[in-house]
Amino acid sequence: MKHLLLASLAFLVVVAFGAIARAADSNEALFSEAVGAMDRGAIDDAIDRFELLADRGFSHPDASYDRALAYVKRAQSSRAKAGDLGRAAAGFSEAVLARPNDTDAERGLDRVRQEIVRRRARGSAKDVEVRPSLGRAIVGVLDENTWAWLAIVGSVALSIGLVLRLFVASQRARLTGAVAASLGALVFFVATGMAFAARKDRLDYRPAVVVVEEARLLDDNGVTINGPGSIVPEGAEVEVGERRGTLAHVEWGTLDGFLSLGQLRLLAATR
Amino acid sequence: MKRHLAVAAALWTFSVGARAATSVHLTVGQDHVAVGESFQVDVSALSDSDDDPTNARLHVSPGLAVQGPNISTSQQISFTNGHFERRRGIEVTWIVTGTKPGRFTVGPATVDVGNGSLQSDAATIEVVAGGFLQRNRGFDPSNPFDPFGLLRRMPNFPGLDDLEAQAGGRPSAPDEYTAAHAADPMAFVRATVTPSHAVVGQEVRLRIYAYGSRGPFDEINSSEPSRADFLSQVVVDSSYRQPRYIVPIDGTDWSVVKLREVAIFPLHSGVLKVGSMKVGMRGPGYPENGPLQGLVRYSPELSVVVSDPPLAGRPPGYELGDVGNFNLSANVDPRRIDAGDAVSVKIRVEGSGNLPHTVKLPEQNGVDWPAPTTKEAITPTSSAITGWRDFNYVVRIENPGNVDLGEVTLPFYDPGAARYRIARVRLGNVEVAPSQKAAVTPNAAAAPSAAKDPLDGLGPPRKQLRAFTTSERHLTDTRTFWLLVALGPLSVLGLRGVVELSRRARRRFESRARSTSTLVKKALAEARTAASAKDAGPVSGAVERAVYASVEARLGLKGRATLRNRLHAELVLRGADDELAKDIVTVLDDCDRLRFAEGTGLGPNELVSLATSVVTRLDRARPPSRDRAA
Repeated sequence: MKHLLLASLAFLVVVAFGAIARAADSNEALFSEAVGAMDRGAIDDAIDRFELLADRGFSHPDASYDRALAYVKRAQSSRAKAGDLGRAAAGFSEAVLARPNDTDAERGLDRVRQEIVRRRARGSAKDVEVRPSLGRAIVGVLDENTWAWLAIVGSVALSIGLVLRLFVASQRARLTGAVAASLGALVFFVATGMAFAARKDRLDYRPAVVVVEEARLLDDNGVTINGPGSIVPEGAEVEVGERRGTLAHVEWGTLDGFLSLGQLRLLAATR
Repeated sequence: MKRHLAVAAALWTFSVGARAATSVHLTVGQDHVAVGESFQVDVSALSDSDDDPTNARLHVSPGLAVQGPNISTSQQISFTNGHFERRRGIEVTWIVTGTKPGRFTVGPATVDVGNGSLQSDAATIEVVAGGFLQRNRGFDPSNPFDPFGLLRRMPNFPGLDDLEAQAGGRPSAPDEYTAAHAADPMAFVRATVTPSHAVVGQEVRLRIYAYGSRGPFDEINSSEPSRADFLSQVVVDSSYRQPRYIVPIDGTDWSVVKLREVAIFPLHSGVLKVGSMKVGMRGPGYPENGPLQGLVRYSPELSVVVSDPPLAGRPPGYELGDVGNFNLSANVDPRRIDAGDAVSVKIRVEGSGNLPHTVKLPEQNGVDWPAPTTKEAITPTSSAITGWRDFNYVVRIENPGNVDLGEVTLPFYDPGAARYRIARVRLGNVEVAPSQKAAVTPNAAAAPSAAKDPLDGLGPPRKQLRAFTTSERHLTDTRTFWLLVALGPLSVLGLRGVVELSRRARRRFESRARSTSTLVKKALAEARTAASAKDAGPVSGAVERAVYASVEARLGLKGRATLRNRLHAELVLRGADDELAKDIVTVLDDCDRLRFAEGTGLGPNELVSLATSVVTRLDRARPPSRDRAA
């Protein structure tokens, strides 16, 4: 009986590992097929395979990069579809997010955005300069982990300062402690707050790219917002927060509103 | 039962302008009648153009007498295949009576549209001699010339339905008309969706029925149910031509008619709502809610639970919404061309369900597939939406040789089998001969005036998946970080608090040690010790200290400063009872005796016992009130 149990367990382990290995193989194989399709000029086929990889939850900067290239190639061809450049921008953005030092992807993203601007300018569309909100700009000055380390340094400085101020009788030590505690408290509270905000931003918001020629922001009641900045252009990166059915609340710089999820491509969650 | 025999199919005339999208449809109520018996002829003329059909005429053979017509306008708006279709026209009814036996032709009906006219097909009717035919005559609520119909419209008009039922004349209603219970004693509207769980793009049937317990009724002033999350294909757009049935519900006979039947295709996943439909029910016995409102009833709101088709087994190129069962066929013409020329490729998708808008093409270098033109025919049936869609491509082939065009595929999800399928069709080969034009093209392409695409030069695709760190570990995601950050300052402050508390406790302890009760207890303890040592002097001193301190603490009287002969009265005034006051004076007197005249009063042990009792009772004594003290 014991042998039978052990044999069953071993069989299950082998089957499980086999399934995992097959899934990995299948993703790699699909990637190779997609690259092969691009080589033979079957761009739609390549896009289908890259998109299937994304649907499966497979996220890799090289796959995102190649997907972006495929969309660029289709945008250049006679079979171009509306939103191809936006989808290309999304692929390059995804690659940069996953591998921040990917200069090729950064260059591709710049070129695609320039091309979108050029095409929009040709169609007399007005672009609005969008800057990040003040809060997001301050939080974004440093990396989340840097804020976290600063919070630890502030905490240590505050603790040492308090020890000197509260437990040491020497006047000089008490003065030193007061100064250290003050500075430490300042660093501690600012850095902890920023680390918390950066974490919340990371968990509550997800970057996305507009993949239609123009997306018009809607208000809470689903009514179109008019005025400057109410039209988000193709390729613009937005932060997606709350979702209501098919609508998503987005922040675009200092502007916010709702967009249809169909107008957006959510970037793979790499952060 | 009235049998509608559609003897003439719709005659579609594609000749010119306004008439190109106009249909004239003739329907005859029976194929056999007796001499003197009447039957109904309906003509429906609907037009897509701005010109409404007018001036309807019906041609009949001699031997038939015609009454009417009764004309009503009709308008039909439907959202079909991604665009709105609006049709306007007229519905015309004649009552025709056979005056002699024979075989006669009814029709064609003619209507004027714009500058021209259109005709329907004709039908044949046989009029037989001698009395009425043995026929199950059902009541036609739409027949405006039927006086019996008017009688039958009277509320609770008895007899005829029963007779029909006895004669086996009541048509048996299909199961879909059956309702388990009546939602209202007079009239109600029932709506169903089938299936209630579906995947995105799967066909769901929405059916809405009206039930009335007071005889036949007409639909009036209705509004359509909202269905924003669905693509719709109308199957039944009004109750006008729908058969009426009598169904028993909760022991009562109810008239029922189907109001709408719509094939709806979910556009996204979630719990999607189908709004309620407002229906006005007009007829004798149905009180109207307002002028031309009818008896207003609403269908219930419905929900369809929609999910995405499974990710497992999803083939590359599957487009969300391609759900159904489809086949592909293709035609390539010609099979021999010169390089740079084009062939016509016609691909037909045929089947049931949500007909796909794209197919997967076999792209390859040197073969250019521009956007296709499409043509389609979609037919709603009682069970499914079926039809075909043609994609016509003009495919340019640049490279000479025997070019294999490859295989066109269409991945779709088959909800019946709950699995993905791929429809395929091979396009075959095309012989491409070298062409002079092909030799010229590269030179033209190399012309210096050719504009450079800013997106060129992005580099080739990456062939390998290089290693990368999947995701950075975030310190803030760990509890340890928050504990570490908070613990340092908090622990220092906590330690400081503990130190402060202990210091305060020590002070309090010392203060307590100096308190009266402590002094009293200490003095009594000394007295006991001295008493056990038979040392009279210390006993009297300690007892005096204990009693005076206790009196001062409890009664606020400084005993040492009070004359002994006044002490009793003062103690009583301060709140001690008489016996306690006497005992206090006794203890103090005996202390003096023990000190100065030993053996005349209480012994040391007795004195200590009495002093202890006095102190204990003093602890329970209440201090005097201010008035009493004054």
